[in-house]
Amino acid sequence: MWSAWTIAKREIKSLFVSPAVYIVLGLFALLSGVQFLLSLQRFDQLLQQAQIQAQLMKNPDALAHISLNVMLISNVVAFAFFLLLFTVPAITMRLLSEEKSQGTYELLLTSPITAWDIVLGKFIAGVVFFSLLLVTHALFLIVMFGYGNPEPLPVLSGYLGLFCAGVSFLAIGLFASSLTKNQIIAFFVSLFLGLGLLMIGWAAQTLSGNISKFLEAASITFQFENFNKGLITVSGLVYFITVWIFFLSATRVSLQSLTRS
Amino acid sequence: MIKASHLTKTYGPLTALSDVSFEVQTGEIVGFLGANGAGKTTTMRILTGFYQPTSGQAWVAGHSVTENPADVKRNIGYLPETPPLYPEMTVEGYLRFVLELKKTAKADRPELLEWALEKCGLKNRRNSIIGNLSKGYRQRVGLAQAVIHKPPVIILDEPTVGLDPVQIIEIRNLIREFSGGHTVLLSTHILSEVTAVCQRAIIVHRGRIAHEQTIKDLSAKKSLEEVFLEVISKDVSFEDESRTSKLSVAH
Ligand SMILES: Nc1ncnc2c1ncn2[C@@H]1O[C@H](COP(=O)(O)OP(=O)(O)O)[C@@H](O)[C@H]1O
Ligand SMILES: [Mg+2]
Repeated sequence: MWSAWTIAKREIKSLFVSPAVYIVLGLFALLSGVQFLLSLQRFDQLLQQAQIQAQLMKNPDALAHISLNVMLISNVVAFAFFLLLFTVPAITMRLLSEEKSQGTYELLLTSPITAWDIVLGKFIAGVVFFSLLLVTHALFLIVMFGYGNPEPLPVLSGYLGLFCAGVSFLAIGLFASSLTKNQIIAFFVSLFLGLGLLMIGWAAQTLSGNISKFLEAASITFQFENFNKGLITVSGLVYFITVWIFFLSATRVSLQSLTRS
Repeated sequence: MIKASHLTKTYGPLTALSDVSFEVQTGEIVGFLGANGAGKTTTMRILTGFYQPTSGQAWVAGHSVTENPADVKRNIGYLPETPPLYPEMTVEGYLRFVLELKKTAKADRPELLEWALEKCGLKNRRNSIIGNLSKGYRQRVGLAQAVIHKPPVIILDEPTVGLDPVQIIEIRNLIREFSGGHTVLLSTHILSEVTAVCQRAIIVHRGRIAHEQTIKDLSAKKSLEEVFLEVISKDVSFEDESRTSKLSVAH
């Protein structure tokens, strides 16, 4: 377990001297920011229209239908989910591929540590960096809570869903990175696996019956959107934890097969 | 300290090692000599627990590499063919990381770090970024990571390859200093390296042990070079024979 932390510490230090990582961080913050401003503007227009309507029709209820949570925050969170599909693979692609290409995995695999130590260490480093990505959203939250008074619980639930989904993309990316020493290949493999997990939801829409229900429940979008609507369910949590454990175990098997071959 | 018994390793259809057996005694420095592709790296990777043999068995420091690789790993220091370095780290940062990886006692770490820096001539480079070091210095860092935890068995895969003559002499002197306290197995394709550093040579050829020779038994009349060529030409004639016999069977 301590060795996992040894691996994680080293990886975090290396991440923070890597220019690529700052580019990913910057792009994520920039695109999130642009989308936030556009959403804010749109929300403002809707709000003004509603105010005019409320005055004209003497109907103060119209204002109550404009929810900051539904119209703004969940929008921002949903867009971040979409961004993570691309940004997380850009971080994870180097995690194990680089160890292979520069030969350092030979040091790791001949040291008295286990494959789990390596997998968990890399995973922890990924989670730390990913949390940093999410922290860039703090600015938007400050603005939103200062500007209006959204309900805090659905916001919290939305970000919990975003965190769970992002960590799922991380586990997938780590697995992809264990397959190859080529970072570009690792990037595309994790992107396609992530897309696959998202697209089974589309397949569900064209089918019916139990298969449709099953596919819907298996799609990451469905699970994330439940959280983003404020619905934290046990089945949702179980879903995400299963995805993490599945891909982390697959990574471990993939690492072990290197030495067993 | 090291015992290999009938090791065989195949990569798909290719047989990289067949029936390799040898022993290295405690405190010995042994050279594993062979041309490129002879099977040196494959043997070393099996001894370090990195690869599993297809068949056969090996023991390092009394532990089986197939049944107990974790204990084997605790007793070895290994310099792979490409030194396993993180270019963005400093020499000191990297060696501290290795000390943790090798599970050394926390209290011993400062002393071991200073010892390895001193021994490998890295004291004035401790704060250098590894990626900015010359090849010779990078090799020293690679050597430092293999010895820093003072393992009983040190395995070095072509430690002087790609270095200039001055660097080669420096690295050889370093390796020689580890004799006595440690058991050292090093691989090379340079004949003179074995006579310069080792007490004994094991010649591998096409995945087989072709010859074993104690260096001090070499007479002035017969150099290691002659022994090597003799061993290899014997094998070539054997190959020719088998090919002709196959042909005759086909006819
Ligand atoms: N991972 C591998 N996959 C397939 N073939 C390999 C692999 N590693 C080595 N070989 C082959 O096995 C043979 C022995 O290689 P190696 O042990 O690296 O020799 P040496 O270190 O003496 O140059 C060579 O023919 C090499 O091409
Ligand atoms: Mg080799």
